[in-house]
Amino acid sequence: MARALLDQRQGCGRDVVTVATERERRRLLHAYKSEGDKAARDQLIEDLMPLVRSLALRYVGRGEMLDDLVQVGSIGLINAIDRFDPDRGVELTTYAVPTILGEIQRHFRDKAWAVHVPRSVKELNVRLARLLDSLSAELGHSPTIEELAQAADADEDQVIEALESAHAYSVRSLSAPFDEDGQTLPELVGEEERGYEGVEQGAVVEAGLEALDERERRIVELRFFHGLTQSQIAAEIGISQMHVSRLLRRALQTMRGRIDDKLGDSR
Amino acid sequence: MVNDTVTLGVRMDRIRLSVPPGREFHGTLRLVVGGIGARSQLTYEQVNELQLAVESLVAHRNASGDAVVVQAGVDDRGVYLLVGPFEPEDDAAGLRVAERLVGSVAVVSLEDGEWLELSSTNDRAAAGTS
Repeated sequence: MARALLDQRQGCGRDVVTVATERERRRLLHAYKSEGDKAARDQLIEDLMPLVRSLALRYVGRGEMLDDLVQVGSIGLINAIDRFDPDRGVELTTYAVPTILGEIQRHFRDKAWAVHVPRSVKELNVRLARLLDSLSAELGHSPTIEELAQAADADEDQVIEALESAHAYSVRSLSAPFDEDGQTLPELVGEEERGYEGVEQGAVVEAGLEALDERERRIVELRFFHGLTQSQIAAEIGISQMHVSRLLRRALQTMRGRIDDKLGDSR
Repeated sequence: MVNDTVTLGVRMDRIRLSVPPGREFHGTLRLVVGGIGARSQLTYEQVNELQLAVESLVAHRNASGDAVVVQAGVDDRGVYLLVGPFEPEDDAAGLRVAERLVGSVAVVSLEDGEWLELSSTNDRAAAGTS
């Protein structure tokens, strides 16, 4: 269906495409709302992700990674699709835009920093993220805290504090629920076998991996099963080392949340 | 050891931290481990993964309602952490994750039970190039 729409986009005027797309969205919405067609819901989400990205771009430069904002916005999109009432007489996109923007704004207001982080620390964190990559390339190894501090013209304590501030983000808001009652994420590496095949065979582990988005899963695989360092992963995926660090931590927390759910269900 | 607060005692180059149940203390844990790593000239990546390993192990133990003690020995060559008491059979997978994140991991038996020893060394110092 997406291919058909793309063909139309290439061969027809913009207005025709818009009408066709909205018509198709109505069909997908009907399939989802009336028949519970999950594939239709997934198609809608995929179809509207460019909208989420364009809205997230408005908020770039405020201390948040674009990818994080897109993830937050996608939560708004999913909420919009789930809550949308086709009988209201408005288009889905009309309803979704304020919902997506609201989710992003709420993220900035309530969730971006779980604890108060001084502006100077946030700014140092942003500088350190850049320095990490440039120093890694320059030195040929991940820099020490001392080297980072010298490059940033800051004290080592300030560097540690600023690096820690990256974890003051409420990453749980971006990921699956996370509780403290169950076992830890470490189940991802399995109980009996050390190889990747052995790991993947575990239903629990599989459930944990399935909870990750494609990029998080790739990072976990590269780090734990292929043995790449964070800086190597950063180069492989094309993001900063600090971002890899945050995504890795988030991925492990997400996996733990899903694994806890899985273990809870089986008890 | 105190169960309802974070206590930190520093004596020479040994640090002892008791982390009570509750994720609100994990930020403190990361800060302490980060500071220890910096003291030993570990790289950012080593520090980061040491923090992740310790936090994971502590979170697992905390989930059962227990405080967890982290003892650190620091010198110019690296960091040596003891986390425990640790029950290998209870968190065998946590052990595996730690093995992949940290340079060296071993289960050691002490008077009050088994502890997990994590060590991450300053590679350049170990190679005599620092």
